[in-house]
Amino acid sequence: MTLLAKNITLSYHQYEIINNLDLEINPNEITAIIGPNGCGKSTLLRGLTGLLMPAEGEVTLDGKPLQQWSKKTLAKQIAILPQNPSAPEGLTVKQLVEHGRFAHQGLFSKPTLEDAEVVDWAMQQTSVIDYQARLFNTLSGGERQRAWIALALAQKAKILFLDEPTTFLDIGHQLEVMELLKELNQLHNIGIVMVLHDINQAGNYANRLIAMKQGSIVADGKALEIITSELMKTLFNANTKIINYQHNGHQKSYCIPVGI
Amino acid sequence: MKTRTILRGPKTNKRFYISVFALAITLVLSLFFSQIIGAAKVNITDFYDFFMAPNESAAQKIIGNLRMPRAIIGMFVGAHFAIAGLLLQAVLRNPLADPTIFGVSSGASLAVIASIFLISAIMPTTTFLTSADIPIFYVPFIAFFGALLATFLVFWLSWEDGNVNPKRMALGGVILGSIMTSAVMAIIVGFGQAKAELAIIWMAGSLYGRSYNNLIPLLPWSFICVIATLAIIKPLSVLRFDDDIAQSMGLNVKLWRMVAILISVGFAASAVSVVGPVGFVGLIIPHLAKLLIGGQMFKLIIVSALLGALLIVLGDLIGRSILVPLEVPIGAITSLIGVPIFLIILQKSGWKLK
Repeated sequence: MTLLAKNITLSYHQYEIINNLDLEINPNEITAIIGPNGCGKSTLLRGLTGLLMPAEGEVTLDGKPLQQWSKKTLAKQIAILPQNPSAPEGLTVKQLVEHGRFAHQGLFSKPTLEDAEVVDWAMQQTSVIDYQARLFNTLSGGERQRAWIALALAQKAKILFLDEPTTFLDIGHQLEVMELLKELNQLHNIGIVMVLHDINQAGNYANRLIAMKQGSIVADGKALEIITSELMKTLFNANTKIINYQHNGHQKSYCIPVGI
Repeated sequence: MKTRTILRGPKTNKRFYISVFALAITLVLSLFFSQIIGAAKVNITDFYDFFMAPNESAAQKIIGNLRMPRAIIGMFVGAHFAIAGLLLQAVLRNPLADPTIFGVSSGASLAVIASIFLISAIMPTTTFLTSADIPIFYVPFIAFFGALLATFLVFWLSWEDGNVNPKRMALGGVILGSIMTSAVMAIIVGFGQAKAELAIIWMAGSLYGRSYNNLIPLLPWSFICVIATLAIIKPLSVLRFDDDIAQSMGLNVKLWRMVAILISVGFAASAVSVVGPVGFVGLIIPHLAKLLIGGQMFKLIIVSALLGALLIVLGDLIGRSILVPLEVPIGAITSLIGVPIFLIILQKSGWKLK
């Protein structure tokens, strides 16, 4: 499975946000997109997933442009979790997650045993199974985010796209979500592509970092290779100190903002 | 692992069945009381005889020709308005959506009033909305056409980036609705003459003088719209999510939103064509249903229909009984009941109007 953006131009209200961008997404790894506010990260995410059709160029999945995929078939390949989504009122966690099976069901078909099993599996993976009977709107921020991920998992998509999945969460819940995504990638071979604000989180969890500025990719590679003071200065106009350290036998780099 | 199966569904299902049972019983009781309570005296024995020993007595005529059709029509239009509101709220993700607020009802009213007065200008009659005016079978179609036209106008006003902006739709609906209501009033005042009073009662939303002749043209609309609603339960349920996430789940958002709005217009316009624009039913009933049985679409549809029917039948009964021999039109009753209930719900669920 290959997701390929060829020469895409993405615009909102006739404003060009991204111009002539090429990108290939590896469905087996964790990719993080970083960059300053308004650089087009979220727009790129929407463009890569077919939520926003490119004005020029095309995004292809297995060689076929996204707009030629039927919505339901595409949903079995790609799941998207936008930033800060809202849920209909009065649904329990389980009822919410069951909506993830929409693409696998006909208009009149009853939920199959497989549907039920996948929903249970998704809730188990995200550890929301214990409060599946609770109303979604009574959950805390961290629990909600995991329930949303369960919904996306229930789609059984091969790549999961997330727009700032850790925003509004405290540090513990942020790490919980990141660990969950890492586990999904390593154990279930689900590709993860996410927009992240926190450079260190991106560096810690992503196999590949894509740094964007003003609608273009300015750096693309492994965290250790691309996270440098120079890049941070270019991206955020901030002075930073990069510290290299060992953690569990892995070489990591840590970026500390020191001023502007 | 075993606790999981215990934790799921049954509790909410039980609640659903109990609610449906209780509502059905209350509805039957209200239908019964609506036959024996009112300005003219009708006894329980008359009601019993109506089924068991039919005769030509005045009391039985009141039941057969006036109260029975009136209650049955009330039941149908109540369900119509309630489901119309439920559909509209789901697809626009706006808790304030209601056919009367979104210009649907006023579009239907304008079309009906305009065509009736146009026809009576050519062929003067003094009745209103009876078969003497126009073949009554056509009235729902005229209403549907008017409502559809209004809806398209509202869509056009709220179009943004190839999609409907729900907030602009609410605003556009309110504005267009007031313009059309003014137009209706202008027509009534200007050309109403002998019909003005009846037309104004109709505009307030009234079951006054409705007979089986009014019910029959409504039935095919009920049938088709109910079937259509049940057929789109799954897309409808997904439509309640944000556009991006709904599309990510595999839903063709634009297509299904249009379909759902069309069905909603069908429900509302056909009901308006019979009783006039009755407000607040579509607004408050879906919320009550949600409080009662939660957010699952199928359950919401069933319970909303029952609650809507109950509200109109009971509301009409109250309207007929409090100021005897005068009648308070059902539209006024639903507003009286609706506003406080709506405020309570608003308070309780702590909605923030974005």
